[in-house]
Amino acid sequence: MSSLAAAAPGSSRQLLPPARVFVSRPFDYLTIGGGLSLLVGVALALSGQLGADTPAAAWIPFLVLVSNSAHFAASTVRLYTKPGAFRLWPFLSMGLPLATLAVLGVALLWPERIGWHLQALYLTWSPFHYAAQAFGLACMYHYRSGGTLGELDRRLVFGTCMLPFVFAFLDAREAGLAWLLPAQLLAGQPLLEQLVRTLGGWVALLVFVTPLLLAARLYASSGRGLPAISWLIIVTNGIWWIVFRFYDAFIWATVFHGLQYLAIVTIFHVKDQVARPGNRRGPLAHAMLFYAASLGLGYLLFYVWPFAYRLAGFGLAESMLLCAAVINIHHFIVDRYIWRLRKDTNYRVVTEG
Amino acid sequence: MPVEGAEGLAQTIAAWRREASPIYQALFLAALLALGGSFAAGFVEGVRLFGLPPIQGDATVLGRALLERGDYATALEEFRLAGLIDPETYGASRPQLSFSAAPGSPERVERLRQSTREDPGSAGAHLELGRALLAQGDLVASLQSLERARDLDPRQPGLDATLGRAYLEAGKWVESERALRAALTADPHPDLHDLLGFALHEQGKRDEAAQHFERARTLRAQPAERAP
Repeated sequence: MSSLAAAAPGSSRQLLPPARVFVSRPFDYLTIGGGLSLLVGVALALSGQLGADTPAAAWIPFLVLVSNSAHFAASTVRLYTKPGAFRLWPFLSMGLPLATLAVLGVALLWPERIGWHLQALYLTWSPFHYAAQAFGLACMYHYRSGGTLGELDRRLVFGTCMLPFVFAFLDAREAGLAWLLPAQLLAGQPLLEQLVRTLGGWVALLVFVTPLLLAARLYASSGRGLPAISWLIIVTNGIWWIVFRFYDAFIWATVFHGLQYLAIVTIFHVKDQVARPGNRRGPLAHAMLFYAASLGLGYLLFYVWPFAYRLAGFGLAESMLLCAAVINIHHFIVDRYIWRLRKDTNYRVVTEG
Repeated sequence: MPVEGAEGLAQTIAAWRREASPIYQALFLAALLALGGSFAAGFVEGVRLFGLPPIQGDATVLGRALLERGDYATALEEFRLAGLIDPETYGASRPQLSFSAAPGSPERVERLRQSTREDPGSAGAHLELGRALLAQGDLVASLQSLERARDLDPRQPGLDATLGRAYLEAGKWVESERALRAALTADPHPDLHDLLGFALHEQGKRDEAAQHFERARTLRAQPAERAP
């Protein structure tokens, strides 16, 4: 990276400017950057363990609990522990929970007519959420490292981050395009089906080519590219949605997406809490309490809550699936607000040392 | 100003009561009560059914448990709804898991299609393509390939089992029953008994279905007695 940064000696032009990390280089690159997912993915692939029905897959339920389930709950814990959240977002913090319960109730009452639409909505939204997280984190590191983005460049970075979502939208079998277009329409139009498949293949290629073009464009236009960790975040999300899916191993991506989220949300939570007047706890205590609350709530939401609906007379299958769907959708909505940088304490966390 | 512990919580609640509108307060309290009550009730129900709400399992976990207990009708409804709401993820989690094909990615299916084009007389190629299409959920194309494989060589290992499952997924209960009975003569695998149980159950042959579910359960409980 330093050699690249020194490509233009005597000037401030940098293709890969050094990233200003939150904790340490190894921690940020491995967890938030997603580097650990690539290392684990390669190790699993080389040992033939990448995919379903392998001994390594036996760990997945535990990893899903401690990472993915906890990360969904973490956005809720973050919302209610964020200073001023009730005042800032009254509907989000006080109205949305009951609205979520109502939507779940309706979906459970009519699982065959409404439930599967809710499921398809969450499956369609999920890759967008992953892509938006990659975009947010990539920009966050860029701004934190002293970079700026003009409106056009910001849109180009956003578009690059969204490519895995476009791929997933075209490729999904029970969501995305397959949900929005009537199945009979595609079934009766082999040419259209082939077109969608071909388009998906091109988008998959673009996922990995566009970052190179964008890097060149940013360097040419402003003389300063995104830091390496931003590219790592963007490319890793592409690998999750294309390579991991190809190997039927996307479940591993959900684990590392959760880890990525937990790492960054804990950093923001700790910085907010430590900065509060009268704080008596250290960063580690705040981090552990935050994670414990997220883990506990994650267990209650995903593994306990559905049994209440079973007790109320619904099947456990639809209860588990539809609880998971509304938890996901609630998480996507909450995330739209709690990560705002403008006029928010988040901006201080991003820019401060 | 201390903001931690009970005192901090009390301050937060006092500030919330001052600042939030009464309507929002009522909505929030209603949601908290509903969620708190749901968690408590859910925990009790989870303990009653499983000892503790399990982390290992998916939406078919209760269906499997009900099969073990002999409550076949409820188990079937659990599987039916799991498959209906999320066929992509949970379709393969039904009891016929060991007969699931390798992941039927579009690329893999295309490769297998190419194989059948290059060697249209290969029953094995048609069988593999049928399996991959089945894993993708393309039942019509899967059945076409599997039936072509049967026409070419009906004695291929695993063909009857796969055909039985495909017919079952397609709702062709009689054809499924026929194929699964043939498959069971070659391999008395517990999953095949489960599949046949489903095919029979759907035709209203509840007693015979129950016998096959019981047989599957017995075979699973005595793995050492099964042929490797």
